[in-house]
Amino acid sequence: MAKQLKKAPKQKEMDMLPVMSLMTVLIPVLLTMTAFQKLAIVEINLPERSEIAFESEPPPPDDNALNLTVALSSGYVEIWARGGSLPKVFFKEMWTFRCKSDNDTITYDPSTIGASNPPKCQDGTVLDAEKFKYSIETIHLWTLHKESEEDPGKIEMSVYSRSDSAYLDGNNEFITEKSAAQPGSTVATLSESSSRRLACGQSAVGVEDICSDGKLAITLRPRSAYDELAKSLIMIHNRFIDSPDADNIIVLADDDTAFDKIINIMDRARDAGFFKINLSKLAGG
Amino acid sequence: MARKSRQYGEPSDLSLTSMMDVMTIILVFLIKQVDTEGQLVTAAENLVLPVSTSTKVPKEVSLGLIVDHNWVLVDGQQVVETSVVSEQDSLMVAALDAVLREKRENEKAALLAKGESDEGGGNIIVQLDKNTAYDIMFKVMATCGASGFTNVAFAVTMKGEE
Repeated sequence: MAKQLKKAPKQKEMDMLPVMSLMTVLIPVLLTMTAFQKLAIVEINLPERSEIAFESEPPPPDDNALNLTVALSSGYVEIWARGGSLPKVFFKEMWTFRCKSDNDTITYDPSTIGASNPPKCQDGTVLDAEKFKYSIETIHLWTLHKESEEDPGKIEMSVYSRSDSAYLDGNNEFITEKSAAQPGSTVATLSESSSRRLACGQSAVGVEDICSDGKLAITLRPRSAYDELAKSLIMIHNRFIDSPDADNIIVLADDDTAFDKIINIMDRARDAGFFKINLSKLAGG
Repeated sequence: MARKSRQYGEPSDLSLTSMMDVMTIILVFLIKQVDTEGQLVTAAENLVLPVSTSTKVPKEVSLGLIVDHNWVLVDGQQVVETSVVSEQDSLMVAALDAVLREKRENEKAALLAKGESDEGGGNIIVQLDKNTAYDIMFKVMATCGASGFTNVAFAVTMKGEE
């Protein structure tokens, strides 16, 4: 009798339904625990007198104190301290908007736009004349080199890394030409002990890879006035570290200054080592 | 000719493999985003908070104050119109001060009832749109300080997480 060939049993598919049920439970649970926008806080130092009596007199000034103050006005930022001030850092304010129509960015000088002349996207879409101010993505302060207050000024340029840090040379000056930030150069950034050697295609401790797909990924763009400020604040903090108020800083601003600029200045002050930040108003403001 | 009745085969099982792929990707993404510590502050819907390098997160529950384009809100309740704050000359926002003082008294009473001491002033987290004028921010902050909330912090979006 011929041997009957045994037919291989049909392979049974794995039952996915229990796994699916588990997924369906897990996903809503995780959704409730997910943080799509991570929030932090920036603390400020309120004078103690405000808790006791709002109208009371401020305490008498300490003659040994540094009294470091950053004053932000509509066209410049200035640093004052006991006995003097640093030269004003003039800037040109620029607003970058993100267009919802093409998801592209456009940058405008605020003095050239208004309700009658709202910003226009690259695809021709015009932003809402009344509400375009609320769609500002970034407020840039481009440093201007001015010979006098009347001088319209020239925009200062700086070389920036891939992570948006301005490079400084060995003399602690901003690097203004790409040729000075090539593989093999030694540079620093506006943070402590940041000296590093630039390289292409290799990254290690003290070595920064500035290439992407074999090409240099550094950029030359207008220098931020915040970076100028940060450089001065780091220098002041290191020099007056023994001062009784070495960690204190007062930020002054005009009434119409955008909150975003205040936060940027507070960030630079904190990064430089000034942890007690007080806010005040410019006289007449 | 008699019409041939349509023959239906055995009902085929729904293929769940592609669905499983989608679910797995969503699950991995969500696990990556999960904040195990939880968030004590929730961003207001109609505000764009400024981006900051600060990484400090609130450690305890604080009173929430929101200043949007139209209203100043304390714990979600409208207190005073933002335009009123902007137009007044005084640093003290009277309507806001009254609400904050009441909240501060309640806080103190709750702490006393628990037998805890109330030292160092109240905590408040202020949320402002990044385009809010400094004048408005300053008046709100001064009012917070005067009404006993001396630990003022501003909510910001962490850099790199926007």
